[in-house]
Amino acid sequence: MIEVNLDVMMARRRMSLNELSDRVGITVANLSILKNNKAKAVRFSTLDAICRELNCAPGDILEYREED
Amino acid sequence: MPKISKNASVILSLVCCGIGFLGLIAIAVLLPFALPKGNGGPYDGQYIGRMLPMSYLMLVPVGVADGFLVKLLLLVRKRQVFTDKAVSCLRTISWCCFLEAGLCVLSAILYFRIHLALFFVAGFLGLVLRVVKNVIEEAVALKAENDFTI
Repeated sequence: MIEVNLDVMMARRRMSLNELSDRVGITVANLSILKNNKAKAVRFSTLDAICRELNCAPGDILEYREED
Repeated sequence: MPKISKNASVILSLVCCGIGFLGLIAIAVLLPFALPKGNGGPYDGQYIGRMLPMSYLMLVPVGVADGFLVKLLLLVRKRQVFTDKAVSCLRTISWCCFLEAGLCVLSAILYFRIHLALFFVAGFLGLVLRVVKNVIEEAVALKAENDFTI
């Protein structure tokens, strides 16, 4: 399964959910869905904006893990 | 062809379900008087006595299906069509149709051959609803994926 490590990157960049939401231009609710691994899919445009604002690569946010 | 507004259509369907339910109650009350009577022969008292419980049993799936139809229509009114609740309603109504078809076969074998026609109608309706249920179930999955695409 794909896991989203958005919270780790946000902590590294010392950025709050509200701030990232403002910068990326998506709602806090949607960003929260993404952060809590509840999202079913991520648009390239969203990923692009998040990577730009957090100054990271998609691989820093998304991680593949074997299912238990 | 005249087109009824969406809200009016739902209300009309709800009214029809209500009328259907009242009709069902009327049939249940009048059933003992409506069944064929005869002195001896195939329609003697004992025969009617055995036919009555089966006739009442056949009304049960119709009543349950009617109730779930009302529930489904209320979900449509609340714009909650593509939800698990709606799928569950369709599943129950479909099973009610299959149950009714089974009872019709039993009734056709034991009492009225004409109930064989009802078996085909109820069975086909159950099948159609099963297909609709599967379609809605797939739509629910697609909607969930769409809703959780960030």
